[in-house]
Amino acid sequence: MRNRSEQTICAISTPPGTGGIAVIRLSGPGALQLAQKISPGLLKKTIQSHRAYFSMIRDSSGELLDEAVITYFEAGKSFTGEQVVEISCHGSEYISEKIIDLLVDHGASLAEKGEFTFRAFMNNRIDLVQAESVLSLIQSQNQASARVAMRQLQGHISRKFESIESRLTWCLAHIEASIDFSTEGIDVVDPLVLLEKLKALRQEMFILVSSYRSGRLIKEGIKAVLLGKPNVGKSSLLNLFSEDDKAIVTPIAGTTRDVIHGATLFEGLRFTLSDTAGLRETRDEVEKIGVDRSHKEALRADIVLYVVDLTSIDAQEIRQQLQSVAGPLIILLNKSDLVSSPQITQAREILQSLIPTLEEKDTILTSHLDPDTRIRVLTAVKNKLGQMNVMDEAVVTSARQYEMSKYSLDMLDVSISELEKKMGAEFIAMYLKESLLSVQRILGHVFDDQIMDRVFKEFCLGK
Amino acid sequence: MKTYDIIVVGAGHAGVEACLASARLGLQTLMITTNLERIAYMSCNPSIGGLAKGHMVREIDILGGQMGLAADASCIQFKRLNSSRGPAVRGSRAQCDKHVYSAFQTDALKTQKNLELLGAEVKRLILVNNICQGVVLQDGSEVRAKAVIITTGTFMNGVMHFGLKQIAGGRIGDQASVGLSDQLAHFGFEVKRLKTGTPARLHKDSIDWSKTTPQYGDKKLFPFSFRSRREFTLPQVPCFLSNTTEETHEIIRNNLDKSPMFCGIIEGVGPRYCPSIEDKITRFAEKKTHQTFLEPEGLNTDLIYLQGISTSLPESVQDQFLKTIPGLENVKVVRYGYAVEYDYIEPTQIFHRLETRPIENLFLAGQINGTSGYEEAAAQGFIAGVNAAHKILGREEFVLGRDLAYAGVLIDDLVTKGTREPYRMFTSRAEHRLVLREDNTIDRLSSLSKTLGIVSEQGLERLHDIKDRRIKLKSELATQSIFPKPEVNLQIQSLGSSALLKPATLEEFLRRPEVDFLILAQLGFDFFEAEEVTEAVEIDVKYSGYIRKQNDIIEKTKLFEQLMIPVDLNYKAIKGLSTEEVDKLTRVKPRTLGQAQRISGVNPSALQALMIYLKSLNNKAKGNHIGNTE
Repeated sequence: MRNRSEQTICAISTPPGTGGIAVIRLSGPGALQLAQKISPGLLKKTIQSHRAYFSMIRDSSGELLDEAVITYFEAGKSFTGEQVVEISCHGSEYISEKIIDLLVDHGASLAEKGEFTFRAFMNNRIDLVQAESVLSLIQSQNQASARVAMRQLQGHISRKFESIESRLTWCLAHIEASIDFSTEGIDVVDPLVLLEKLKALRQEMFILVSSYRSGRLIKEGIKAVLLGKPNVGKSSLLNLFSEDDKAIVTPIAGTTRDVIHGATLFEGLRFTLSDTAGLRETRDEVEKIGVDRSHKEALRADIVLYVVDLTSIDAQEIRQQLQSVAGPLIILLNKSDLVSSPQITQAREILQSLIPTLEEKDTILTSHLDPDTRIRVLTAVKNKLGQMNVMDEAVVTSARQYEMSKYSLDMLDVSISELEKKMGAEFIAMYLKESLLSVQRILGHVFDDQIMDRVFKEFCLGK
Repeated sequence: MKTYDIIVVGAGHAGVEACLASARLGLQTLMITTNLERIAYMSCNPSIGGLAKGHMVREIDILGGQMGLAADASCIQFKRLNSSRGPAVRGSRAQCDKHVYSAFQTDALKTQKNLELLGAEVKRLILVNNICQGVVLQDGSEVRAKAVIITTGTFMNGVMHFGLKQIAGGRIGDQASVGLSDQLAHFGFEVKRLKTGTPARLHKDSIDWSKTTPQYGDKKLFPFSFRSRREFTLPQVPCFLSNTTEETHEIIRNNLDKSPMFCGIIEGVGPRYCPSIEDKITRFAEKKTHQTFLEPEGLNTDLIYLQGISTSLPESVQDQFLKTIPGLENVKVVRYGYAVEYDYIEPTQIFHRLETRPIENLFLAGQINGTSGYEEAAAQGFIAGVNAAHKILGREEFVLGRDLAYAGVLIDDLVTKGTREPYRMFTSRAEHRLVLREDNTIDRLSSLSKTLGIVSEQGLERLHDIKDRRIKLKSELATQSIFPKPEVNLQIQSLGSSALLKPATLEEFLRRPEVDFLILAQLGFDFFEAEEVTEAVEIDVKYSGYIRKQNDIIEKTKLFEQLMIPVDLNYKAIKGLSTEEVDKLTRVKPRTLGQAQRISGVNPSALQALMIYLKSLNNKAKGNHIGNTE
């Protein structure tokens, strides 16, 4: 059996289903030859890299299958670093699958998940962080996440990690030298200088680690859940926010039994909103399950939007229901069109006494009749979750990058505290080396057997 | 002529260990050296040990090596370096009387059963079908043996440089050994050049000692050998500290064109970590002074070794600059410093057992493998001697793991990475540094020593006694407790520690930085144990948290060490490897993915490709689907 990387792989790179065109990608040493086998007309032409050729695809018996445009990228000048051919054929599933069958008959192998990107990594075309960003880019559903992914692909965050890597290496080298050359009268590093450098590195690492939450929100979108007692108007608000009428709205309390999702794009960010069953003690079995789900949904959310009906405030009930809410919270004072301003002031005072830490910007007046409600609430959510305008900075978006940065930061913290405690250099060196190794793992600068599972398995076929 | 089991060529620090190990394992051994008067001669500095180096001396001592005994017997100043630092990076160093040292080793060889010595020069090897079967001497006579160990140090095609003047030779007063390395090169070995240097030797009566600062050693000897007594054999003497001046640097700078290193005459690479004074002044141009130690070469000699000032400048320039060093204004030089260039064999061409890959039954040890230092040489000599013997006896090869000994790190580094400069051992080369300590050498290696069988019954008994007492003491610490009674707490506070809040085991209590066995004894927990038992236990207890962390870290990489690579793997068949990577992997033939990872110049992506390939081989063996992302 030949080695996998000697084989030429192929896959349909466009999403399944019928479209105007479908693109089939080939990568490997035999890519061009295979293209010529299914499109003998190409043999008569001199094929140049980065040129598109209109050609006829023929099956083994020579019968015409499709008209296609074939683009050739020579080895070393393609995404994977190998010879690559892209075949743009008509977007029928039958035709594109038939072409794949033909290619396999001629000796191509079906690509595995993420194998094109994996090959690009193996051929040193991209580093690991860039490989991850390819995935993010493909999956991006909004402007912000696409922009962050693009910046990553261009090596923005890689350079940041590389800079940390090289400075950590410097520190480690000097600590090691202070041990091994301690008797040679050579000036090694001043512990205070070292401490200063490590603290600066720690700060940068801390910012990167902290960027993960916003990075994830940018990439995956913000999950907000509407919570509150029955009939306070959650479903109306969901429909308003998502500019849709997914949720059934009736004046009957307990209409919403299950969790209903809506989504919207706002200022480049994707919001996923969920409407839940109103929170109340109930004997109705179905409604009970719904209330349970509401609580679970709240736990999964990035932020809870607790809806209060200004026309009937029950402080006792609110206190009880808010007990189960942890994490970011915004209170929507709903049906504001039905009450007077002293009533609003009173409501705010009640809430303030219930939640002493509540700030004014955390309570928002809402009404499904007020067209500005949507903008007010979504802006408040964005601000509440903070630093979302980090697109111009390096942002950690993958769980893998986050875990490894976090470990690196933890190890850096231990080495700083060991240094401050004046512990032996060999102990400081041990922790610092772990910190460094973790950064090198992020970049793929050291060998790591987790790479396959963590980076490339998330890909779809044909990427 | 008589046929031997093993021939050892060379009588330096590697050669001595090699022939003793072989003879002590019962093999008929012949040592051949060009100069029987200079056995185990200290060609350069008169000292043994130092950081990481001292560790290796102790390691081979436990296994039955010789160097530690000689160092203890000839010690005229003992120091534990880094004694203020953590226990893992403390190292012992002994200044030695070089004549006593050499005489001690010569005596050991002469009285050793199964060992004969021969003064002669070896011209070439007898090779039959890539198997080494003995040597041919200068007079053309042949000596047959089942295995040959070459430990020729700096002598192979050695050239000495005194300024621009060159003399063939491996050391002052000794001839170079010509022929051997040419034969190896002709056979296809990669033979390269290295350089090393030595400073001037001064007459002690010509030095104004009042201008120097005496440096005394430790009062207590922590002997290198577990077989030595814990007290000094010889009187202890100080060394003296002085330093170079700006004038010194000026003179050297003005004469760099007369240094063979700087005008390109020497092609060999010098030791980066033991630079010549020319090197130091050029590389650290901003430093206005460099320290130098004036070290006596022995009790009954007039010679003073000028540590740190190795040079290959012409005699006249040496005369000139030496006089600018305080104390040396009227110095009389007995022997000038010089540089030596010599051949070495790129060590990726040998196995971990130090047998060469191309020629069977041929072993290499010491500077010929690109190392520097007596201790590095001795460690290899010992391992080569044992393995040559084991090969003949049909026993398993003797390879020390990186987690077990510095000697294991040394050899794994050499055969995996090769070297472009003289290789010196550092503590930072050992990823298991916290457990590779001087104090626990016995715990690490005594079982292995028993299996090996060089150390006498009596010696083994002693080793196991110490080890067992340590284990017992540790378990007592873990089981006995100290309670926060008012009178106990008062006593604890009077001894400089803080009061106990709740009962603690003695082990927990001993973890306090300020608590030691002396304090335990004062609190009524006296174990009546000697330092050789308490020290290692105390360190193990105090640093157990760090040691556990290190073990965790290493555990994560264990997997790579367990993924075996077939010896006959065709690396060309694995795509994704560069030509350079294929070459390196093919030459080193790593045993595990872990070793492959340590080869410099093999990139992470290559290892990834290698791992996928190995996994697919394994899957194939299991009859599973061969998948890329499996």
